[in-house]
Amino acid sequence: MEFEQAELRCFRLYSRLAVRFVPGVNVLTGPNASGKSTLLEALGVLAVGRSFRGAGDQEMLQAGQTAYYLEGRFAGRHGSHTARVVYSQTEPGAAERVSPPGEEGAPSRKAVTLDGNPVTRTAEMAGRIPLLSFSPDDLALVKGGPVERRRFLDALLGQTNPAYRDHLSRYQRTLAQRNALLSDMAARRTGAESAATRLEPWDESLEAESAAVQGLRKEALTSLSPIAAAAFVSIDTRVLDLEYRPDEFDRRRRGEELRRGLTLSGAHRDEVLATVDGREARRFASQGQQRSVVLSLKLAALDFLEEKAGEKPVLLLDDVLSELDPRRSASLLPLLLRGQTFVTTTDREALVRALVSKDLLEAVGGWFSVGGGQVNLETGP
Amino acid sequence: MSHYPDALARLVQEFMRLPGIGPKTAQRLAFFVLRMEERDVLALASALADAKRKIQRCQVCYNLADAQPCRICSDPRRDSSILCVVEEANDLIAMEKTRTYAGLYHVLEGCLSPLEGIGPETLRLPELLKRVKAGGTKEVILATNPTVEGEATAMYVARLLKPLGLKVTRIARGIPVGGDLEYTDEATLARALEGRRDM
Ligand SMILES: Nc1ncnc2c1ncn2[C@@H]1O[C@H](COP(=O)(O)OP(=O)(O)O)[C@@H](O)[C@H]1O
Ligand SMILES: [Mg+2]
Ligand SMILES: [Zn+2]
Repeated sequence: MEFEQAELRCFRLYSRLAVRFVPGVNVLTGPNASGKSTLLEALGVLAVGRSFRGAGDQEMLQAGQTAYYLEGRFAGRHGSHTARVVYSQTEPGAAERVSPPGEEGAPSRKAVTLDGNPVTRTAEMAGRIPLLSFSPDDLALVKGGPVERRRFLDALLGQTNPAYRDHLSRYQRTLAQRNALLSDMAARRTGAESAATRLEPWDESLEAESAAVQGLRKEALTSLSPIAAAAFVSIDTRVLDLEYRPDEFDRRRRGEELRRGLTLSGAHRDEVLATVDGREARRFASQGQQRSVVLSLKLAALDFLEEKAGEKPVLLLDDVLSELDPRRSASLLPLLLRGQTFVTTTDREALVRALVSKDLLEAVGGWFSVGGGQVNLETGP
Repeated sequence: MSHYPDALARLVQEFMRLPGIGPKTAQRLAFFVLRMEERDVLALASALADAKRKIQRCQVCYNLADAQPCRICSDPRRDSSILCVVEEANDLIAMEKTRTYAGLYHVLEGCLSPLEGIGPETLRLPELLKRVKAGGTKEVILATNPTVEGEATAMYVARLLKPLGLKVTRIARGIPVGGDLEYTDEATLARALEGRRDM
């Protein structure tokens, strides 16, 4: 899958931008705060419906404006497509009122279309255009808590499996309902029998959705682990192991749940334990090794996406290429740069050196300079 | 609002009470009303007041009705041994459009949702139990929405009715997951009704 062109209006610092891309590697160079990450972010929003920086629509909307507009044309296995995302602020005061989605007259906040057809749920957008992002913040995948690793799996599975999106959203909704019920009953000190009657319908679906989510997470990890391990050993000559630890929903914890007013087991408590030579990477691996773990996970994710989508994903490399330890991880550059790739850097010389050392300078199809709210194609490095 | 004459400001304010209508839409509607023929405006006003005055919940099935009991409950051709439980009156209308169902209804007036403080006591459940216990019901079809809340409600009602020893069925999924009964096309609903299962 390849982006052919993109148009941004009132999106962060870009008032109006139209830019054409090339099929291979697209290098975006510019000083800090010039708008490199923002352009990648816009591509991410067009492909998977959300910001890889975790930003909300309101944050991405240009200061002082009331609507942003994104359009992307991309070419893939099934020909050329156009995706559009329009976000507009609700009429002031209207947001607090009840407005069932899809109801006539309801203020539309966000309209997403693919080839002119409305995509009703943003999540449905995910998967049409396989895309993976990689930025220095992804170090949190190893350094952060279990939630970071669950999010990684959720994003990957969400992109490739509509049933997963469905199970996950039903799980999360059931969990929220069950927690509300538990905290209400904890406050009222509801008796065990009455509590059981009220909880059972929620338990049924929580159990079923949790098992469905965990089954798919397990499957994903089974295919990710060996690829990540193989990548890691070639960088670090050590053994990376990814172990999935599902927390099965357990009805026997009801007594404690009623005291604490909270659901204490289920897919929202799953962990993926990464170990290097048998020691937990989060606590014991060096900074360099932690980076290698993230890189290995990303490579595995890229394989996973490619296999599921049947075509090469778009890859966004935000400030990571020049940071890679050239002695070790640069050997994986050819694996990383397999499809259309967007690379940002403040230091073009360092990037050119890394690419030259791996005979990859030829892979770069377009050198862009970013600044002043514009992006310009240049003749070469 | 201070730029408007009083009567116009009031009209805009009233429109804004409606769901999904913000100040801009309210203003557009108000200006439209001013351009309408007077008799059309009066017809609209009396339709609003009439609906509010004359439409009430049927005291048997809790459908919206202009007679007591409602036209469905008092129709002798309908099979009174089957009850179809739905969340709201609009779901009942959707079900009626299939023209596949000839039994009676019971409208719960909502579904379980602890997040919104809606528990079993908020729904028309004692009334359902009373109806079923009065005898004559052989089957209860649970046709709540296939949302998380609708499923939990169906499960709750099924457990409530189990001890009474009658047949309890749930309409089959056939309906887009996460979708609302109200927005489902008639063919899909009819198929779902045929594929109902025991609970
Ligand atoms: N909502 C917004 N409206 C206007 N400008 C914004 C908005 N959000 C971020 N910016 C500006 O965008 C710039 C950062 O862009 P970014 O893409 O992160 O730069 P780079 O990746 O090149 O360092 C900053 O100057 C910031 O002030
Ligand atoms: Mg940046
Ligand atoms: Zn009735």
